[in-house]
Amino acid sequence: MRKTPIAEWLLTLFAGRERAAAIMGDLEELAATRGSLWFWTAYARTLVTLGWRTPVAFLIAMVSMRFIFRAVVPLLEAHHITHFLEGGLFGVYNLHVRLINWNLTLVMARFLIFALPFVAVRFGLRNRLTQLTCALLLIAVPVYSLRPWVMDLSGILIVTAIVAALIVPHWRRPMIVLAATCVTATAAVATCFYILVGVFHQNILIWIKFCMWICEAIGFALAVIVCVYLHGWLLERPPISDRTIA
Amino acid sequence: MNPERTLGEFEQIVLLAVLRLGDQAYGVTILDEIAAKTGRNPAPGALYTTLHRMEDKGLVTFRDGSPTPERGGRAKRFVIVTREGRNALASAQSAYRSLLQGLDLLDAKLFGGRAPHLSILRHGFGDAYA
Repeated sequence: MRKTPIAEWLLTLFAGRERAAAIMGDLEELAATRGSLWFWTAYARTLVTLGWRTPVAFLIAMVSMRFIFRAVVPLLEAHHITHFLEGGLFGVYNLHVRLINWNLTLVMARFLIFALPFVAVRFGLRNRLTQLTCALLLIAVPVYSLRPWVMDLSGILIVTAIVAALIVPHWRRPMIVLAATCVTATAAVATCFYILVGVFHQNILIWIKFCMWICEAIGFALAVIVCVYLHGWLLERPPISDRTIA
Repeated sequence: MNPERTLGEFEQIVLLAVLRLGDQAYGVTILDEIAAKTGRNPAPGALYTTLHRMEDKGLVTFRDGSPTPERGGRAKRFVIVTREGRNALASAQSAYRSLLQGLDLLDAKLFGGRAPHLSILRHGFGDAYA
């Protein structure tokens, strides 16, 4: 009998504990007549078959985020910064409300630009999480126009959409998964950036792009783990009442 | 839930194998049954991916067995076809049957003048159509 706790733990990441234990048991049973080489080959193939989507989706999301920020966002941003002095929807005397609103929407938009390609590749277009992410991104992305009234409106709509999603039972769980992923990504990127600023404080302006790249890669990788875990926990299991045994 | 689920070919093969095995259907026996009846040797990973997908669709469910020493103390996970799974399979099989109706698969004209080898019928279409 093989001792395979690390192999089983790795499989657990992609298949869940119960499924991973059953798969390892099946492979162990089959390997009794086929040998160790077959066991490890079959294990590697199973791991790739079950787990390829997550790393591939992560890479596609990182690449597409770079593309969108280089090619699409500059098109939206083709306005003068003097627009910030306009009153917008909140008026000129509510600057603090506007700043909170804009920051929230900009953070959401940046996260959603990463999240949409990831969830689309990882979970498919028909998944509720993908559909919710797509809807929120469409609402959030006009914030990059940098026109105050558009940014204000985008912020109000995104908060309304989040609240509505949390109220409606059909969208509540996808919204919880998305919110937890967003909070993880934001917290991880901010923490990582704070640490790197400390490390490169002498030359931070030279290393700023590299730091941002590293921070986003680490932050979004952690967010992906949270997203996959929560999706498996909250969204993949159909209710027992829906599974009628024939 | 959608009552009319479409099933892929491998999903149908797995569901049929599970139904044939009854309450003894788990990973190892399903792989053996598929190999014995279709001549294919599917990779374990392909079977598990299909089973997980069908579980998510509500077509199959699982029942845990007791741990055994030959499995390193791990329990078997027996597969059970749900009513939805049975309905989806019946619907898919009925579509095949109606498409096959009136066709003679041994008729050489269908194959450009050359009759198919019998093993193609046995392994390619399964026992039901051989």
